Amino acid sequence: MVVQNDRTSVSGGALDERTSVSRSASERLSEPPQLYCLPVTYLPADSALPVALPMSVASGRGQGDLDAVVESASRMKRTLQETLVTPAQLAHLLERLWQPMAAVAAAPIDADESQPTFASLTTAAPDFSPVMAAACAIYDQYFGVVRGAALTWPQFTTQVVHTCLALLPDLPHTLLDRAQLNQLIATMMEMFSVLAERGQETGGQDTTRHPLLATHHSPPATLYQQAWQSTDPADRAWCERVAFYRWKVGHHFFNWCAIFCRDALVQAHAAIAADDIDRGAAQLGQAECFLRGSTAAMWYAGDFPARLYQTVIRPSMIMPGAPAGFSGDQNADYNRMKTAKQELKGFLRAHYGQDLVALPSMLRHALLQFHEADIQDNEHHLLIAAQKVGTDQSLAQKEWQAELPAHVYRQHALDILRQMAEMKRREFGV
Amino acid sequence: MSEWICIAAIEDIPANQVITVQVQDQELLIYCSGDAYYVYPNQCTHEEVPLSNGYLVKGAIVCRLHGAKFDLATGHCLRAPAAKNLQAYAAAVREGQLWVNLVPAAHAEKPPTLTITSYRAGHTLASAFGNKP
Repeated sequence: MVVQNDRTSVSGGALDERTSVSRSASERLSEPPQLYCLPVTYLPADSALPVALPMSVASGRGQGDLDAVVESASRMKRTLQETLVTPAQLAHLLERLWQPMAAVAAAPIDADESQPTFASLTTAAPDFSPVMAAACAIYDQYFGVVRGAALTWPQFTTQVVHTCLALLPDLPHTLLDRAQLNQLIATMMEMFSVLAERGQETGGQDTTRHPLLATHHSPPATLYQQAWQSTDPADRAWCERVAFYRWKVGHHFFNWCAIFCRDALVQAHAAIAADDIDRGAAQLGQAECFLRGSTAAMWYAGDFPARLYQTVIRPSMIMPGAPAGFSGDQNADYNRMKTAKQELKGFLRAHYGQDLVALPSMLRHALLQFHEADIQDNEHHLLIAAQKVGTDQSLAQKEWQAELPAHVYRQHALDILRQMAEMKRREFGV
Repeated sequence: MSEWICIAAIEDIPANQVITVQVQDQELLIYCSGDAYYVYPNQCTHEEVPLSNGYLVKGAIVCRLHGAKFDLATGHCLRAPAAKNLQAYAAAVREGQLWVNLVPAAHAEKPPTLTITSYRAGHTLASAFGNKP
C-alpha cells in the first residue's frame, strides 16, 4: 500500500473527486501548502491499546518526552480552568503544549523496528458481521484512517501525537466555547498520562517513531496565525478547505477518544471483577474524561457553518461505488467502545442487581458521573445535528427508510437522537 | 439450559408476521414463513431496542432506530450498524405447539419427542405485528 503524506490518497478515486475542491484551493492559496492539509492516521485494527512489548529497546528519552507533554497539558488545563484566557493568549499557550508534543514526534526513527502490518477491517474484525466490517472499512476510507495490526507502543504513541498536533494549532481559530477547549486539552492530558503510565508498565516507554507511521509534518501555531491574518474570511475555497480539515481531524481525535474510553471501560470491568473498587472507580473517571473528549471532538469537527456542511461536507460522504447510508454508527472504534460499555453494564447488573442498589458508593458515584457524561454526549450530538441539518434525515436514514412502505412515518435524525437519549437515561437503571 | 418450553400454539402465529412472547423474563420474537418457525431474542444486536418495534421487509426485519436489518430465516445481519448476527433459538413444532430451547440453536440439544403433558399454560402473545408505523 502506498501512503502519501498530507492527503487522503489511500481512499481511491471516489474520495479524490470529493476533495478536489480543497486541493484546488490549496494550489491557489499563498500561505505554505502544508497548512490544513488532510492527514492520514493509523489506528489499531482491534481498537485496543498495545499489549505487546515494543521491538526496539527503550532509549530512556521517550518517557521524558511523554512526561513533558503530560506536565505541559496539565499546566494548560489548570490555566484554562482558573483564568479568563483570551483567544490571543490561547494561541500562545497552545504553542507551549505543541512544542513538547512536536519533540515526541521528532524523536529519531528506529530503522530496526519491523514494519507494521496493515489490516483491513473486512478481514481483521471477527467481532463484526461481514456487512458491518465492510461499512466500517468504507467509513475509515472516507476519513483517511488506515488500520494497523498489533501496533507497538511507539507506533501507537506517534499516531496519538500526530492527531493532537494536527488539532492544537487550529484551536485558537475556532469558535469553540471555553468548556469544549478545556475538555480537549484535559483529554489530551489524560491520553498522554495513560501512554506514559502503561507504556512504562509494559516497557513501551520508547517513543521512537516508525518511519512509515510518521505521516505528516505539523507546522507550528504561528504559521496558522499568519495564514489567518492574511486570509480573506470570505474566500470560499479557504473556508471549504478548513471545514474539510476540521471534519476529518475532528473525527480522528474522536476515534482516539473512543479507543481510550473503551480501554478505560475494559480496565474498570477487570478491576471491579477483581474487587478492586478504588481502581474500578478511577478507571470509570478516566472513561468519563475520554467520553467528554469525544463530545468536544464532535464540536470541533463541526466548527464551520451549516451551509458548508449541507453543500460540501455532506455531499462528500455520498461516494460513487460505495453503499449509501454513511453514518457515524459505522465507526469501528465507537462501536467497540459501546460494546465495552454494554458488557460492563451486564456485569454490574449481574453482580449488583438490576437496579444496582448494592453498588459500593464510590463506584456508584463514578458510574453516575460516566452515565451523566453519556447522556450529555447525546444531548450535544442532538444540538450539533440540529444546527447542521435541522429536521432533515441523516444519510443512513434516507437509505434504509426508502424501502419502507409509503405510509410509514419517516423519522429524522433528531427523532432518533431523542429516542437514544431516552434509552441512555434508563441504561444503568440509576 | 436444555429445557424445552412451549411458547405458543401454532394457530396463534400468523404467517409472515412477527409476534412476541414473554418467556422467563425474556422477550422472544417469533416469525413464521411457510412451515418454518424462527425464534430470536427480541432485541437488536446494535442497541438494546425491541426489534418487534421495527419493520418487516420481505422476510427481513429492520430495526426502527438505526435501520439495522436481519434476515429472519438465518439471523444474518444484512445491513449495518449491527455488528453481530441474531442468534436463533432451537425451535420445534409438536402437536400443534411451538417449543423452544433457550440456548442458541447451534448448542441446543436435538428436539425431544415432546408430549402435551409438558405443556406450560400461560404464555402471552405480547403483540401482533405487521408493517405499521
